[in-house]
Amino acid sequence: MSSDSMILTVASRLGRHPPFDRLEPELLERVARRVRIRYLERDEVVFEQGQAAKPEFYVVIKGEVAVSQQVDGQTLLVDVCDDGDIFGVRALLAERRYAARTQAKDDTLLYVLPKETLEELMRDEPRVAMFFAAGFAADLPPRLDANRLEAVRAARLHERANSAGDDVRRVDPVRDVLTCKADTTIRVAAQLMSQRNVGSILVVDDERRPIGIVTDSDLRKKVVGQARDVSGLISDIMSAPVLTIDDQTTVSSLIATVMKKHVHHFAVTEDGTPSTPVIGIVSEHDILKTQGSHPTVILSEIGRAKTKERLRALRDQAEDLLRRYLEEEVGMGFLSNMITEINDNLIHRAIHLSLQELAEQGMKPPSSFCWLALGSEGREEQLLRTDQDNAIVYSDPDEDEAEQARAFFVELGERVVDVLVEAGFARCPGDVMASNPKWNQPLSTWKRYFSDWIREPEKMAVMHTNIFFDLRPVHGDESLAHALKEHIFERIKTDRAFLTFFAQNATQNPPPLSFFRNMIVESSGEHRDAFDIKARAMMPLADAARVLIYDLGINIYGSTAERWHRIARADETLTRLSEEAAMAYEILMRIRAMEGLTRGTSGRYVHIKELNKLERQTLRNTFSVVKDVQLMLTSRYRIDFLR
Amino acid sequence: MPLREARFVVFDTETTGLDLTKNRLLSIAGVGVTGLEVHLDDAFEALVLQTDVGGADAAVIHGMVSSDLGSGLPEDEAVARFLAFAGDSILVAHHAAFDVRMLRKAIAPHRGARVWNPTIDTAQLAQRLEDGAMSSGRAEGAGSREAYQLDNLVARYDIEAPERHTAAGDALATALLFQKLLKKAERRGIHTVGQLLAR
Repeated sequence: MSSDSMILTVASRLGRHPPFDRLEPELLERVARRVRIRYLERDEVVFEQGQAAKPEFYVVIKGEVAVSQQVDGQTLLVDVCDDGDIFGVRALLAERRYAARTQAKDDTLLYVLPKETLEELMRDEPRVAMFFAAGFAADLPPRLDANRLEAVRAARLHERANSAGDDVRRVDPVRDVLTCKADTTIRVAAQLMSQRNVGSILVVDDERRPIGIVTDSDLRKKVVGQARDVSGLISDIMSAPVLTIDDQTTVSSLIATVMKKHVHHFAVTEDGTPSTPVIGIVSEHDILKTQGSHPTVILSEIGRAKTKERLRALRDQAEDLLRRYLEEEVGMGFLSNMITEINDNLIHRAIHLSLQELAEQGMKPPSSFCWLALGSEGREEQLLRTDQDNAIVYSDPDEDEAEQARAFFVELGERVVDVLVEAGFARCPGDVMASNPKWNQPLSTWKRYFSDWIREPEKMAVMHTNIFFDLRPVHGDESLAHALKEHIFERIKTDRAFLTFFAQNATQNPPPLSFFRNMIVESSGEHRDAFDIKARAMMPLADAARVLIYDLGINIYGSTAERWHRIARADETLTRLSEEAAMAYEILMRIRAMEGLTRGTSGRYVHIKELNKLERQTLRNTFSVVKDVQLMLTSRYRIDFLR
Repeated sequence: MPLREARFVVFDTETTGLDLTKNRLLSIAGVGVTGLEVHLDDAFEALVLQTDVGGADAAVIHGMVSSDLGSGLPEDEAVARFLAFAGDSILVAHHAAFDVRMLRKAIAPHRGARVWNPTIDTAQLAQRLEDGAMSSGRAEGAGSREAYQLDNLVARYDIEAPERHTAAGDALATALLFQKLLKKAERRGIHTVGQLLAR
């Protein structure tokens, strides 16, 4: 007979902590069956730094384990693991020696689990694989890379299918549909509706084929409103024809139709045409009910917004959606695409409205132009409404029209920037916006700007103009942006020294060494409680990716994560590090977005003590990736020689 | 044999009461302690089939529902399986004398069946380690006896024991206690099974 109640006790204890809290009961029990319970007295050592990894890992059930590292002859406390913390995984997965010593700070109880359990979980449980893979990406050996990435991809697909997969979701019609014949009186039809407590009745012919529909709003408007006799025929007040669909129609295509045609009901027929019998009905309400707010809905509403206030309300909705998706752990790639799509559409709308206002005053664009997004917006990763960074490039006008063009585009820039401010995007403190005449110029001037920066990069660094190198066309004549980008690539080809300065810029801010509890451990030994995630972790990775894409001639507009994926493919020696950098960056984006949404800030300063254990562990593990990337840049561009 | 190499089987029996002559076995649970670790993959649990149980108080103490009493193994078979699970390991229980007598009684009808294993009583062991290295382990007075009840030891040694008063819950709690006592014993210079068993 099995020892079930003992196992269940251990399972429920283990199930209090991530990732075990995500396991199905059956699997959790199977894991619990492999547990060995170890008791440590104070100061007892679990493993020493440099010792070969044992085929097991550890969960702290009670007590505290200090993690310390010997650095330059000094012992540095880098972490304290307490209830629910897991340790010993990195060396295990990497099949290498322990990088730190672990020692009980107090009497401590550990659950020891075999390596096979870890492997089984990572293989069979996408969510758990994600937990370990994301958290320990920096330490995975190449051999495991393929599996790990596969698992993560599978996890994302899974999440996407569950959280945002309306593309494949079919309609779920009400099958028990209320119908009546065309010769039914209004009174009888209304009675039927009220008896069944439904908002609509389908009018059908003798073969139950749909010929019209009457809703309660029809009754209100056409019967009550027009004081019509209720003994009249229902066919007199029905709306006809009815839109018909079949039951394989996807939800997303219906949303589009609802938006475009302002229809509220669809009759579901056997083959989707009005010539076969009705089998059900779907209302707009049913569709929206299953959707809540939906990116497609928000997008389409933005396209119809008439006022700044409406744009702001819609962007607020997008933020709610973002928060929900973040909580559901929807993949970061999907999220940043969604928000970029929404932001871009908002800009389109802002430009459209502004051009309309100008047209009313008789002003028209004197030449083609392109609205450029810069910085994080240019990199398609502006999840929160942080500062605006934008510019306008327009095609070179004839000399006698130059002043007129200048005046028009600055006017346009000012108006659009104002709309964006109203929609919640703050002004750029450095005034890098299309409303600033300096950043609102014809193509030839823009080319000159870049030529100067590339020739004299020292000045560029001082002015923080590296965000210009992330330019992306959002609206208007994209060929202007392409031409500018081509120009930059050409200049860099002839002036390689620029890349070295660019790279040096990316190595200015080293990541912290580690942190534990709510303190950041700097390599100087100093401790702090808030962490500048932008300057210390995200910018180094974004800067490095920018250097490499310009160096390798990868001409794409894309996010930092996409850039790293492209770099991974372009240069084999960078493949592994680049994949890790891509993953680390997405993790950092997620943490920053959560911090920002929770506190109503830009999320730049992350409060360590408010992170949960998993987030803390994950964040800490990105530091080694940042450090490796900076080391790589230093040797690749021989930065040390310049210092 | 060094303590760290031996296999101990920490167990508990659940009975209809504490009177050996009248009461019957309800369940047995045991778990292996090897290398000073409690091994959940080396655990045993059996319910005993009892059709004529009268002691309603047991149901109260053990939180058992009557339907549990109708399933399980015959008493002698449950004990035989447990002894097979234990093999030649050292048996460990809290107030071990009582539990071992329950086991013996259950297999008494079978000629030649005996409980051969060396046994350790965690109540005595705790007292011996707390009183001094050479204490005999005899309970001295009622107050002292109470201090070495499993409930009190569990509290004193800060052991999480959510499922007390079932054989499995008490066996697990006893195993966690025994684990701590072994560490304490090592600090007292007790490193072998022989030293641990020596009176």
